[in-house]
Amino acid sequence: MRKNLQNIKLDTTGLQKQEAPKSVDTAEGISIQSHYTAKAIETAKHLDFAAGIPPYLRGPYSTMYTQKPWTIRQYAGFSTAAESNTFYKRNLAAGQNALSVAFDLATHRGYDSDHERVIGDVGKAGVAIDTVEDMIALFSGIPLDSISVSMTMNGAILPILAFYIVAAEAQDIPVSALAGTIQNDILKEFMVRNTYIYPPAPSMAIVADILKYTSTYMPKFNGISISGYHMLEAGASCDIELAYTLADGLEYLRTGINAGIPVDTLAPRLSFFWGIGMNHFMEIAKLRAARVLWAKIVKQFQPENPKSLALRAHCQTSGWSLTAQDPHTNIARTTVEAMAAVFGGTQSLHTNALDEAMALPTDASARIARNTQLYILKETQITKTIDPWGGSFYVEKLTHDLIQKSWQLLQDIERLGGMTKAIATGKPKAKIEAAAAKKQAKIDAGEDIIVGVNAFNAEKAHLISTLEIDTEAVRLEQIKRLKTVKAQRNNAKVKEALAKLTKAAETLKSNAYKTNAAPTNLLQLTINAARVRATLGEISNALEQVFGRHEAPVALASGVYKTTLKDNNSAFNKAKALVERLIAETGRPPKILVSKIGQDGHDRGAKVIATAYTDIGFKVEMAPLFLTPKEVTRLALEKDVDVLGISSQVAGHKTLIPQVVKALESQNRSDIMVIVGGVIPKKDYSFLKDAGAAAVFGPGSKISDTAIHILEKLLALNA
Amino acid sequence: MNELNFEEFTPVSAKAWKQHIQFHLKGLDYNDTLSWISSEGISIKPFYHKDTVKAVPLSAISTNANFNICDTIEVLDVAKANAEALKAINAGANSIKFCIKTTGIAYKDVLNGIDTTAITVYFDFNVALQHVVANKTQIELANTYCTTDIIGNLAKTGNWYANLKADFLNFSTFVTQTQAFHINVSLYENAGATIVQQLAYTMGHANEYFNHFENAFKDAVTTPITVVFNVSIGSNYFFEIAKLKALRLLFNSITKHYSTPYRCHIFALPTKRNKTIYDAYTNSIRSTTECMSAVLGGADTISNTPHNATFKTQDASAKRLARNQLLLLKHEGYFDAVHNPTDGSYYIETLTTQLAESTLNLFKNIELSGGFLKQLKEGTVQRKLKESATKEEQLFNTKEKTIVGCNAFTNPNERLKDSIEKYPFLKKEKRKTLIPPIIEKRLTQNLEKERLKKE
Repeated sequence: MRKNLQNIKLDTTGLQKQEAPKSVDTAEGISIQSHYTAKAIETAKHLDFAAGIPPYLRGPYSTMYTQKPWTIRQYAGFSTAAESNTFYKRNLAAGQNALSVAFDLATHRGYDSDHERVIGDVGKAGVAIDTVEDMIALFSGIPLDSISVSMTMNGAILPILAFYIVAAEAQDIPVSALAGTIQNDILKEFMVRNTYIYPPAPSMAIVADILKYTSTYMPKFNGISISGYHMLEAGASCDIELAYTLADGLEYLRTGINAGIPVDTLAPRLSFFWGIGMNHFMEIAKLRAARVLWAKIVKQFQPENPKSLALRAHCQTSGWSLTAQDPHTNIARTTVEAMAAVFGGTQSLHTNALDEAMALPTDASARIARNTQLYILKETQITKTIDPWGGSFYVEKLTHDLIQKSWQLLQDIERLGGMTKAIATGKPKAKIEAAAAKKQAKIDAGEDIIVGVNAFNAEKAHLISTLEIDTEAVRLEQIKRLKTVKAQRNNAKVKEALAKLTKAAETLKSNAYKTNAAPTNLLQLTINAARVRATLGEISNALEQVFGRHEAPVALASGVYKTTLKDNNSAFNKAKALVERLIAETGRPPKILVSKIGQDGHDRGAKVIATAYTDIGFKVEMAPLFLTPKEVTRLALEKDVDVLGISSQVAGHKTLIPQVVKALESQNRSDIMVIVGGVIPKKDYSFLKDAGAAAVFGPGSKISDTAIHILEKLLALNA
Repeated sequence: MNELNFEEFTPVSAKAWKQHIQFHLKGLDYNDTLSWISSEGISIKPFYHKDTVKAVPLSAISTNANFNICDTIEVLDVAKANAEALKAINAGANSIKFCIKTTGIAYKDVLNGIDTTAITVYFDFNVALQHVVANKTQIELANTYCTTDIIGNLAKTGNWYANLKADFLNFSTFVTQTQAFHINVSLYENAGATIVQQLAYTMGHANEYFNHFENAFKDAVTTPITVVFNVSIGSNYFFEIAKLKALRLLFNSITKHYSTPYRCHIFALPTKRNKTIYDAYTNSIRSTTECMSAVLGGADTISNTPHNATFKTQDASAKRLARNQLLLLKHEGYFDAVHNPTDGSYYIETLTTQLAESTLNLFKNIELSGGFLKQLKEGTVQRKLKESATKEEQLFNTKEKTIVGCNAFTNPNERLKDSIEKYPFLKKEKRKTLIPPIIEKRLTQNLEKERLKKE
């Protein structure tokens, strides 16, 4: 006999699980509950906002991806303009619809490739651009009026933007037709990324001039991309990233308005750039919270155009979350992060390649990275409805919590007088560094798990072939190109154009950097200089003569690492005991100089090491950024250290470490132990050791273990 | 700017939002331009809003955030299977599924060294049951889900293990012993069923067993019988989340009417339907979102499939990668922190209700015509599945349905001929069957065959 079920109805009774509620605390200090109900969001005030209407909770456009999906924008730059150009053209043919340019370290810092300070930096982490000719080659065959180009440039913003405009002129494309974005976010450089050139005040004056120029002549171009990405990468939690980035945005808004740009001209051209990490739902909430907060912030300037209140975003999946171990696992990490960016409603997206933590992507890895977005776009059907997570008690609660937390942090910055002043106090930087040290302590203690790094490790390392660049060849090639350009130009005209720039800088300085008083626009003058083929280094130098080069104060945090670890952390205690033994034997604590060499400013690793080693009991000296091998050696001698620690992130180690070892030898101080840490591929370990490094600590090393290793060596030397 | 409120902004009703959109559409039709009709016939709106959510309080479906991470192991050699299981557990798996396809081996020994109180173990019997139940000690496996599916076997192979009567008799003996059976939902997904078809066939399929036990178990059964649903998850992200939620809801709504208590247990894995042999790493991207859907939909256990499983035999690093995908969802992505993340979502709640309602209608129709088994024997199920599969294939052929790297964004430089270790396409075999079997077929296979030939 069959049971007759013709009259049954959907029935949810009894489906509810009875479980004791649990919670976990996130890096933001937000407690995630195991179960959410409507009660969680009773007090939230943001719930009833939509997309396309201020304050844009559910998206900046009213139909979002249902009509126009996000733009696939992969960030890439190979060492030379020609190689990058080939790569771009191939990617455009394979389904990408916009470009994002990465520049090399020397370019970022305003040096031509023939400068003595950048021997190890040319062609590292991006393309070397010295002249307009390089820029023309970079975009050869790519119509700049139909492809939107995003350029990650902050320090050398003036020459790079000028070169781009002049390269477009060479394609007969007027400046007004250019579409894209230039980062031009100098404030976060002083906080985290460190690729600044000039001090904050003149830097902000440059920002103002760029905003004035772009809002007047480049209606399709975003003259600034306010970036939280680098804060997230430097260790900031989502609430900090959100608050400080919006505070930066507020500062630029004020700067532009003070320079005489109407809010409704300026605000719609501001765009934001977020990093997207692994806490999937927190990231979705972050993008939603950001839009509501930004609308609130802009509203005080009483714009008439509702578009002025809309936050448009570019996102990039987190490079920090990638691991050198089990690199293919990064495919999944990037997918999880990309999905969060899309659910959060981003306007464009870069997905990292699986080897991006170690090297520039290969063709194969770049393909997988791009396919991640194409798959999400074409196969998952998640573009069919706007803000699909809207209403979820969990996501709405996280959105609410982030709005509240970030608003408080934003108020702290306002009380300091805005971000430029806050940066001068060093507080925002210290807060991000503390968050990074805390994160590292949690990983070292096994409290936070990174799959394949501090848990579930592979039995044997899975090596993949990464792209290796012969940077010496790139450098020599760039020098040759520079010589050619210099030989063919009219040097008198160059001199004249540069003198005008210097003069304008002087006027600006004498007016205390008040840009509304300046009669000439620095970008316009730079374009003129670029037209007569002044080089990037010459242009930067013409301004540096007046503005000076910024030197960041060296600050060091302590205590965070120690307090985050539990008392019974055995490796930490062992390291401390070894320090005690060393003191008993030598009469002084071990002394280490923590340094970076060359133009790479990514100092998260160095700062975390310095904090943790201080907590272990070392006497830590922190070297200023951007030293040459000789300068670091001199400093090590001056400070009389036992150990010279060098942190390397962008592959300069093979050029620079041997030079350091030689410099120590020449001073008869080979007793100073050289150790290297950071993003160093396994295959380079033996090279570095043969070159004289006493130890190499690659990604995933626990800090206490590295200290034990060093201390045991010191004790052995002493025995 | 101190006090945080949003008083300067006006709340937006669904009506106001729609009007705003219509204004910007400049005369284009709202539904034509912005709505999407899924293959299930469900119309997806450009937005969902508090005002548009129907009254069904779905937020009562709690699911299992603390999902198990499973490795699936085929037992051909007991010692080898045991070693493989221990290795997987050591590398982070907390669940193992043993597939038994041969009789006459000592299954129990695969558990050597495995603590079944900590590790969730499945035994999936895919062998003639008469041999299994003849020696009951073979299935006396404490703390494990020891299951079989005779109708699933019929649907897949076209034949009973023995015959209808014997199979059902053995099945009853088996289930009395193990307190569990499974439903092979994957077969329908992999054969190209729409989600509503999958759910309706699943419920119809399960309902055959419910009816059988209602009559077979004369004495009242008090210990619940666990129904393990082996569900394949596709790439349609929110539909797949809603599929699992709807499955629990339908299960709850149907089993209520039987005197035997049942428990719903979802074992999820990625679909085979959309997997490709070219650009194989794109399969890792696919399976990542498929595993995300499985977690968020509330699967109890998830077993991920290696990206190259279609054409490689044993690839330890691919297996490791597949497992790591789940480990990082759990440990890095906070996917195990909340067991009801979808509750309250206007879209997911609406979609779940729609899928469940459509399924219930189809289910009732199947019941009205005599039940799932009858439709299977008559070939109705096979015919309907074929219609859906053909429709999907046509969409694929005309590139309306994209499979990245296969019918769009291909990599012309990729050569595969020399890396293929097992035949990745359907094998044609001529067997005599009682009913036409349901055939699992990858959407991309014809195109790939052509491409491979041209290499």
